[in-house]
Amino acid sequence: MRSKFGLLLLLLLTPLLSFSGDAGIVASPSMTSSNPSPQPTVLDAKKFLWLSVPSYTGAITWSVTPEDTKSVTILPVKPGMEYPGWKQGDDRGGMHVAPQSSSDVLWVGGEFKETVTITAWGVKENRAFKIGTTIISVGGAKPEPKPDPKPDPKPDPDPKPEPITGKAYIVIVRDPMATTVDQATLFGDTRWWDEFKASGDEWDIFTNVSSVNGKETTQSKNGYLKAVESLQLPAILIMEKDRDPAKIIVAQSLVKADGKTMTKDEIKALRKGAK
Amino acid sequence: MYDIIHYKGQDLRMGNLVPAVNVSSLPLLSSAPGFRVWTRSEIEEAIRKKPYKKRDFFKADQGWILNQANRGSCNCAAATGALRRVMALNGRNEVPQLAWEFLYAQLVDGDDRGSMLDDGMVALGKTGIPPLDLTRHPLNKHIRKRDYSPEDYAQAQGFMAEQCYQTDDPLELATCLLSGQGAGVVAVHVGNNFVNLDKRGYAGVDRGPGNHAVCVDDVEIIDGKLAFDHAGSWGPGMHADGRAYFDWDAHLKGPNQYHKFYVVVGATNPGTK
Repeated sequence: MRSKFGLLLLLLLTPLLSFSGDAGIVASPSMTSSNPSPQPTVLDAKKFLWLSVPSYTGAITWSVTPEDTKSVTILPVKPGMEYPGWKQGDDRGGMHVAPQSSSDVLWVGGEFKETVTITAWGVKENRAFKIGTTIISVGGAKPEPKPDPKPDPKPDPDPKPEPITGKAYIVIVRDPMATTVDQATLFGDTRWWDEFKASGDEWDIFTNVSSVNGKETTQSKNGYLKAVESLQLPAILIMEKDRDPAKIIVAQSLVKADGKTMTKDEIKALRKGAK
Repeated sequence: MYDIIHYKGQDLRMGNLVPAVNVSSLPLLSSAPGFRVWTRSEIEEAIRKKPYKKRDFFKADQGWILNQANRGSCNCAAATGALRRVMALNGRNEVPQLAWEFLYAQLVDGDDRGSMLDDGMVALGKTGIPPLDLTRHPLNKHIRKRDYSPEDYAQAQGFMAEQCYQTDDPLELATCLLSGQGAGVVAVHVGNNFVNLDKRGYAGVDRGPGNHAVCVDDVEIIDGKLAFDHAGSWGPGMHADGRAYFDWDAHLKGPNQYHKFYVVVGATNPGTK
């Protein structure tokens, strides 16, 4: 009873903190996304937030689902201790004090786009029990939709990709931190890329960043990052320009089997082959 | 008090403030996951293989050299120039001129005192910059936040930096500028020598902590040394169509002791579809 009252008081007195889970896990800061319920807590890549159960006095063991995820890094820390880093929602990096709590606080660092569930476990009468869970949307990820209880039995009417009959939209997804000299020469030749426009095609080069300030980037929203996730970057996607939604005809790495980057002629041939 | 020099009948304002503590709000480029600084020979190879010089692509007569006039907005003109260059290199179809005085307004809110590199880069990734609309915001007038409407702020969100890093190393800076997608913002010290241009294309050298911010977008090798090409913000009448080279040791090393330098390597792009 007392712990519930304490929890209610905490909510009233600390407007910056709010529940984002189902039973007492507090996220700080608590930036929720616009996704439908359950509202996940938003966490950008390379930023962190705190999770705590302020009223729980025992030892907490934290678990993350999926178990093998690399989307977050977690680190239990003592309340009141100072840690450097870039907190979710802040303009700048700096020193941050772990929030006050009767038990250990969890430092959660965002890494890659994924929705993860973090659960706090306690021990009561020598048995583990779930204190609470919270969902975190990392890097602009959306929560998994609930499975449709009545899946549509109709077969996919369009299972095979169609060739491009009109103009193409060429997308490059690259990791700007890992560019070779040959790739730089290729990407830096804007005039050459603009030759595609002369024939009515379009092109864009995107980074592999999935979210900025909690907002999903175009390359993530449009599925380009998903389309190249199993490919070595930089990768090329070729799709039909005027078809909505876009259907990707070509998806392949620009790095060939011999480790060399595709040449301009090879990229042009790839575009022609997609016709 | 800010520095002024007289050049061709004009007063040119410096507006790059020296931070009290030389720290960065942005991560160090060398600590970015996966980043590898190129060797000197790789940099030379990249320069050799370059299809053209950026000064022949980002030309003054196509709006790539700004004019801050008698404002202390050099840092914001430089940051805006870096952002627009990255957008163009990304293939973004629409790269309008952007309202660098909007960015300046976010930093000084009416007080034309100049600004710091670090603040400009943070605002570039947080607030963004709306397209320049001279009918509503004539230059040299609107440097207060309240001069801009909610629509301006909403538009600004479409023109933001996606990834910015801090760098204090000439090879790192060169790697980024030559990578085909980056542009930088650095500090240089401007006195009476700066306005000169030597026969190799270098700007004159003045010693000091760095009172002026500029955009750098390319690297060449001149007399065996890395020469960083800068795009100024006093119009095409300065140097060679607004451009001159900097030598790290002569122009940039000194100011870098007082200012962190920055690179933009990604910018928002709505895409074509």
